[in-house]
Amino acid sequence: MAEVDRPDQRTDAGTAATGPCRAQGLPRSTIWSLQAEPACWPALHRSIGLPAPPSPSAGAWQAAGHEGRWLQLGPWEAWLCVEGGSSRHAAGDGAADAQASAGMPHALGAAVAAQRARGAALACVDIGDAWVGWHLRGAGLTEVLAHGCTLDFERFGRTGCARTRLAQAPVVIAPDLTPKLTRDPTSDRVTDTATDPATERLAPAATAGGGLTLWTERSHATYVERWLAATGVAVDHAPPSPRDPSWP
Amino acid sequence: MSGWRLSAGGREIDRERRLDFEFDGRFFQGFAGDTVASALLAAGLRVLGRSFKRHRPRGLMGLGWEDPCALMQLLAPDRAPNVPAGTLPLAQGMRLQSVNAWPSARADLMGLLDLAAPWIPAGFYYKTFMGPARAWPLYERLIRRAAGLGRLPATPSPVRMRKRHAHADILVVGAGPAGAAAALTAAQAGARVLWVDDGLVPGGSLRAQADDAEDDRARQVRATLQATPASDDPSSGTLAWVRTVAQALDALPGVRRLSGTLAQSRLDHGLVVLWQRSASGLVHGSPDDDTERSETLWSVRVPQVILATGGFEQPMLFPDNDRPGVMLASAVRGLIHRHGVAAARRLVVVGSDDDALACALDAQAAGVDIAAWVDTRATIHANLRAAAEAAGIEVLAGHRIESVAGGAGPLGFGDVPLRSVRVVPREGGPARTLHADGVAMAGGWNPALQLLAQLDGALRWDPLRGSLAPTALPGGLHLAGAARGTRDTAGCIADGVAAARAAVGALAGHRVAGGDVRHAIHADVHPRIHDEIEADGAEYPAGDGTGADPPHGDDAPRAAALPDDGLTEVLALPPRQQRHVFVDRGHDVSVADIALGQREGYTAVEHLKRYTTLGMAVDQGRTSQVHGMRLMAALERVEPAAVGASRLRPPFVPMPLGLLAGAEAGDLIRPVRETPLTGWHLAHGAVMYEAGSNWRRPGYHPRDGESLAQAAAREARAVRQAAGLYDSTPLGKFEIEGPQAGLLLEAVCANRVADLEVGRGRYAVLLKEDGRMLDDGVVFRLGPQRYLLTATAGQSDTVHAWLEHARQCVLPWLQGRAVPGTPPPADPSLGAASAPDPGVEGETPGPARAFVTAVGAQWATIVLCGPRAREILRHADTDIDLERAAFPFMALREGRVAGVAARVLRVSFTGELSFEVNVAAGDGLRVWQALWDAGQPFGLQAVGSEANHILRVEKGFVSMAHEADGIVTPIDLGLGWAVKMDKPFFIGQAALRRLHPGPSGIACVEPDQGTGRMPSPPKPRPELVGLKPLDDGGPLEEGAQLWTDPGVAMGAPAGGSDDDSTRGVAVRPDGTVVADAWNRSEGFVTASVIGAGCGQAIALALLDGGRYRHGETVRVSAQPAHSDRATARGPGLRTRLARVGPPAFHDPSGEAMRG
Repeated sequence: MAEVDRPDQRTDAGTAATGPCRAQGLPRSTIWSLQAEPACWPALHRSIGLPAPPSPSAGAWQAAGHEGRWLQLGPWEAWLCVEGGSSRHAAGDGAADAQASAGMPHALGAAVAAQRARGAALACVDIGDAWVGWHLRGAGLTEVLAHGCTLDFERFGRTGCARTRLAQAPVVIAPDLTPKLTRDPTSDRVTDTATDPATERLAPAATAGGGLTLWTERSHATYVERWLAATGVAVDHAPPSPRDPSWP
Repeated sequence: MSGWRLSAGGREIDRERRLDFEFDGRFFQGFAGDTVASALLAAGLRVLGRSFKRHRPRGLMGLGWEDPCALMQLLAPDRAPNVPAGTLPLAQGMRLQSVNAWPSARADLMGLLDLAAPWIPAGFYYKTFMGPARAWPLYERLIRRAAGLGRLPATPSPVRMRKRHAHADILVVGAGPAGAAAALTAAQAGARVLWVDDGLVPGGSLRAQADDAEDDRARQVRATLQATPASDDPSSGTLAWVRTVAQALDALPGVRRLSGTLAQSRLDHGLVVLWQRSASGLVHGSPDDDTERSETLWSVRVPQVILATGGFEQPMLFPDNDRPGVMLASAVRGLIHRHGVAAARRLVVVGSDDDALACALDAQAAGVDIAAWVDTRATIHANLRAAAEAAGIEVLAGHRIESVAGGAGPLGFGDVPLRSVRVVPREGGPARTLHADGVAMAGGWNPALQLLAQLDGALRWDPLRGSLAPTALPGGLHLAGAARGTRDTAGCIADGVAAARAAVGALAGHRVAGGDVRHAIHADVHPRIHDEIEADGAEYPAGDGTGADPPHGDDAPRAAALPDDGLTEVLALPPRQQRHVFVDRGHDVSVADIALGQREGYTAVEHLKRYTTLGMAVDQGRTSQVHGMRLMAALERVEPAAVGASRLRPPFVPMPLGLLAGAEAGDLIRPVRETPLTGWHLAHGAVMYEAGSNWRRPGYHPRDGESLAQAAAREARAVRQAAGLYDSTPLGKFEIEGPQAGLLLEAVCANRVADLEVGRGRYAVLLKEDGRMLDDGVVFRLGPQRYLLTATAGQSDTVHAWLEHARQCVLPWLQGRAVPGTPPPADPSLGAASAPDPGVEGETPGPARAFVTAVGAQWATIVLCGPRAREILRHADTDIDLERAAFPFMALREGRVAGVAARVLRVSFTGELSFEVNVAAGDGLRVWQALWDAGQPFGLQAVGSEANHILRVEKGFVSMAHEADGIVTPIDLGLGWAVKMDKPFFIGQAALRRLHPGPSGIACVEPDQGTGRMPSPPKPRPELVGLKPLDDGGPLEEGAQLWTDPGVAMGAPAGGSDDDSTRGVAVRPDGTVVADAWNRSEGFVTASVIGAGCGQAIALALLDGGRYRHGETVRVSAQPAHSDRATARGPGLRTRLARVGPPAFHDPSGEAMRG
C-alpha cells in the first residue's frame, strides 16, 4: 500500500511566515494637510523638497533646520508630518484669520505664504489632532492587514503610501515613519535612507517584515485598535502626551 | 450489510488512527482521512438522509458537492446544516444528525408523504391551500414543518470567521493534472500564482482512480480506455507527479496554494471569492484541541483565471434511481481508492459512458462481484467489450434498468439493502433480474463551468459531447482539462500548459512579478510537461477554449455522439412510474414533474426551474440541469440547444452566512466613532446613542434611577434655566480655502455667504439638484479667502463628497459657460462666475481654485448653552471678550479657553445663549473638564442628545434626521429666508423655481406683501407646522399620520355622526372642501416632546399646505381614521386631536439666543 496521503495542514500555504505583530501607538505629530494647485508644486519642490511632479509615495522634506516626512496622498495633496509638536492652532493673538501660517515651521510657513502672496490656490491646515498613528512591525504584517485592507502590499513598494480603508475605517498607510535621515555634506540635502529608492536595498520591505505606519481618524482609533487586537496584533498604547491630563 | 471496509487500499486513510463519532445517536468508528460518508458506508449504513419533499430514504450518491442526498446536520465540533457527507472530513468526537427526518433517517414518520406523491406534484402549492385565506398561517406552519432540510444553529459558531484580501496574477482552480500543469507553468513563467482546490490533498479526479504507477492492471485499463499502448502512456504516475508539483510550488515565493478551498464566485472587475473551509477538517484532532478552527472568505483580485475544475458525473434515469445503494460510478471508485471502502457486495454498473467499465474493473479488483455492465448504448467499442469479457464481466449493451427492488422497507421505513435490478433490452425482449445490492451509474460527465457562467459566460448544449459547453470564453478566463471537455490525462496536462501560457501571455499588459524569470523547480517534472516546457516555443493547439476543438483523444474509442442513455423510454413510462424516476433528487423533482410543467406551459428553461424547483436545491442542478433540459427538449420535440441552460449563480456551493460577516460582529460590527470625551461620558453614567455616521455620543445621563424621559427633561430644564454642556464633536467641519472659496460656497449654499465679514457667520442650507434639503449648517468667514462650514453629524461624509463634487464638477461647469436665464450677478464678488478665470490653464476649466479640508476630527466641539453660559465661560480662564457688543450672535472669536487655543462660535441649536467652544481634539478633555468645573456653581449639567432634541423642537429648529425627509425643500420648512433666489446660481435653484412657481416665473419665497400670503403652488406642499394635542395624554406619537377631521372641521363635535362626516367630506376653515378626508393622510408628526420651557406636549409635523392651516384641528392617528372611529385598539393606535400652529413654542423672537 502506498504511503497515506496526509491532508495539507496549512491554512496559509505559500505565504511569508507570520509571527507576532506589534502596534506601538505614536505620540501626537503635527500633520499639515497641504493642497495646492499644480502651478505651486515646482516652487514647493524647490523650497521644501516636495516631489515634483507629485507621485503616490513618501519621503523626507527639510528646510532651514526643520525636517520631517511627506506623504503624497492625492494628485495635489500631501501630508507634511513633523513628529511631536503641539497644536498651535489659532495661536492666541485673537486674530480671526489664522491662515497666515501660524504655528508652521518657519520655512514651511514662508513657502506657503509666498504661494499665497502670488495668488495661488493653496490650503495648508494642521490636522495633527484629527489622526492617530501606530508603528506596525512584525513578520507577516501585511498578511495580517490583508484581513481588513484591500491593498496589494506586494505592489506597494518601499515608498508607497495610500489613503484607504482598514476594516471599514478610513486610514492612511505609509512606510515606517521613523525617518533615517542622512545629510549629504556636498549638497546639504537630507535624504531618508528608509524610503529613498536609491537606497532601497538597505531597508527591508514592509512585506518582508519591515515596518509600516498606520494612521486613522481619531474618532476611529478605539475601533481600529480593537480590530488590530482581534486580528492578532499586540497593541501598545502611545505614551501619554504631556498636554493630556491623566484621566481616570 | 452492503458497504464494507476493504482489508487494504484507501490511500487517504490512516488505519493506525481511529476516530470515534456519533450519527443519529449511534456511535461509530472511522479512520483519520475518512469522510463522514466513507466512514458510515464502511459501517454498513445505507440510509443517510431523507429527501426534501417526499421524505424518501436516501443514501450516498456522490462523494463531492454534487451529492444532493446524504446531507448532514453537523452538531460538533462545528455547527452547520446541510453539509454533503462526502465533503466532510471525519474528526474525533464529531456529532452528526440526518436532516429533515423524524425521529431518524432510518425510520422517518414523514416517509408516509411518499404515498401521497400523486397529489403533491410540482407546483402543488400554487393550486392547493388557496383558501380560506385565514387558514394560510396554519398551512404555512404545516408545510414548513414537513419540508426543508437542516436547522440553522441558534448559537454562535465556535469557528472563527475571517475575511481576507489577496492579489495574484493567475488563479488556478483545481488540483488535478490540468490544474497542476497550469500552476507549474504559470509559476515557472514568474507569475504570482494562487492555486486552490477543494480537496485536502491534491490530485483532483486522479484521487478516485487506481494509482497506475503502482498497478499494472490499472495501467492496462487506462491504456484500453485511451487506445494507447500501455508502455507509451505518458500519463503513468500522474498522481505522484501532481503531489510533487504541489510540494515544489509550496517552496516557491510568489505561489500560494490553498487546499480545502473552493472558488465560490467570479464577480466583476477580476474579483473572485474563495471559501477556505474550517481547519477542523484539515487537521485531525479532538474538538477540544488548541488548534484554532477558522473559515476564511478570500476576496482575490486576479486578472487571469484558469478553470481546471473538472466535471460532475451524471446519473442515469430509471425508476427508483434514488434508492440508497444507487450511486455514481465516481463515488464507488473514490470510496475504494481514497478510503478503502467497498460500497456493495455485488454491483450492477449501468452507464452510457466508458467510465462504467473503469468502475466495474476497479470494483472487481477490490473484491466486489460485478453482476453485469449494463449499457444503454447499443454498440460498445470492441476493445472495451474485450477487456470486460476478459475480466469475466457480462456486458449487456443496449439494455436499460426497468426497475429496482429493495432499498426501502415497507412504507419507506428501515435501512433495507437493494435486492435486485431488473433490466430489459431497449429494443424489447425478455427482462432479466440481476441480484445486486448496489448500482453504479456512469452517465457521462458535465464540465464544472459554474465560475464561467456566473458572470459573463453562457453555456450551450454541445451535441458532440452530450454535455454543456461555453458559448464563448470570456476575457481573462481559460479552461483546462475536463472543464474543457478533455478526458484523457495527457490531454489534461497539455491543456493546463496551454492555458497557463495563454494566461501569462495575456498578462503582458499587466506587470508580471519577476518579469519572465523562470524559476528553477527542483522536482521531478512530469515527462510530458517537461518536454513541452523545454521545447522553446512549442505551441499547443489551444483552440478557442470552448471545447469545440478538442486537441486530444480524437483517436480514443470513446463514442462521442448524442448521449444514448434511454431517455426516450423513460418518457414513454406511465406517470405512475415516471414519478419514481428522479431528475433532481435534492428537491424530489421527477420526470413526471417535468412532464407536468411542460403540459402546463412552463417550457422555457427558467420557467421550468421555478415551477418544478428543478436545480434549485443545495446542489444547484449539478446532477439535474442536463437531464432537465434534455427531457424538456424531448417533450417539446426540439434540440436541447433550443431549450438552453438555466443561469448558474454564485456561490458555487452553499457556505455559512457567518462567513459573509467575518470578524464584523460584536464590537467590530461597524467602525464605531468616539469623541475625545467618550471616556468622560461613560464615567458619568451616560447612555450612549448612535448619532449618525457611526458616531456614538451621550443620549442622556440618568441620575438615581431616572427614566429616559425624566433625565432628558431635567437636562433640558437645566439649559432653559441655568446651563448645559453638550458634546457636539461629531458635527462635520470643513475649511474651504483659496481664491474661489467664496464662489464655491455660493454654489453649494442657498444663502448668500461670500459677503460675510471676517469673523462673522450665517446659517446656510445645502440643497441637492432637485431642490430638496441635503443638509444645513453654518458658514463662518475665517479670512479673506478662507471659510469654515459645518455639517450635521449624520451628513458630514455626504457633505464632504458634495463639496468635492461642487469643486471638481460644478464650478468648472459654471466657469465654462454662463448660466442661462439668470440675471447678472448682483454681487460684484461673484463676477468671476461668468468671467474666464486667469488661474485656469487651457480651455477646459479645471477644478475650482479652492480646496476643502475636512477638519471634523481635528476639533473637539463643546457647546456651552443656557442663560448662565456667559458667566461660566468667563470663569473658565478665557481671554475672549464675551460681552454681547464685542462678541455678538453668529460671530467667531479666537483666543484661549482653559489656557488652550480655542475657536469659539456663537451659534445656537437650543434657542438659548450659546457658545460653541472648539479646541484641538487632544485638548478636548481638559477644556471640557475646566468648563464643567467652572459651571458647577451655576447649575451646569451635562446634556445628551435627548435633551438637545427637546430644546430644538421647542424652538422649532429643523433636524435633518426628522424634518428633512428627502422630499421637503427649505421653503417647506419655513427656511425661505435662507434661500436667495436672486443669486446667479446655487445647486438646486432651478428645481426650486419649478417646485415653488411664482407669478413672475421666479419662485416667491416670501409672502405677498399685499395679501400677506404665499402664492399657492399647484399642489399643496408638505409644510412645517407645530402641533399641540387637545388632550393631556402626553406627547403625540412620532410618525403618526395627520388627517383632516370632518367632524371638527365642520364645526361639529369630534367623531360627530352627521352625514357629511360619515361620508368623509370635510370643509376646512378656509372653505376648501376635502372630499375624501378619511382616506387621505395629509402629513405626519416628525418630532414630539414635552417642552422644557412650556412643560406641555408639543410636536413638529409636516402637513400639506400647513402654513395656512394654523388654528385648524387635525386628527393624529397611527392608522387610517375609519378603522378606528370609536374604539381604541391600544395605546399606540389612539386617534387624538391636535391644534395646528406655528412651529415655535419657545422664545419666537430669539431674544434669549441673541442675548
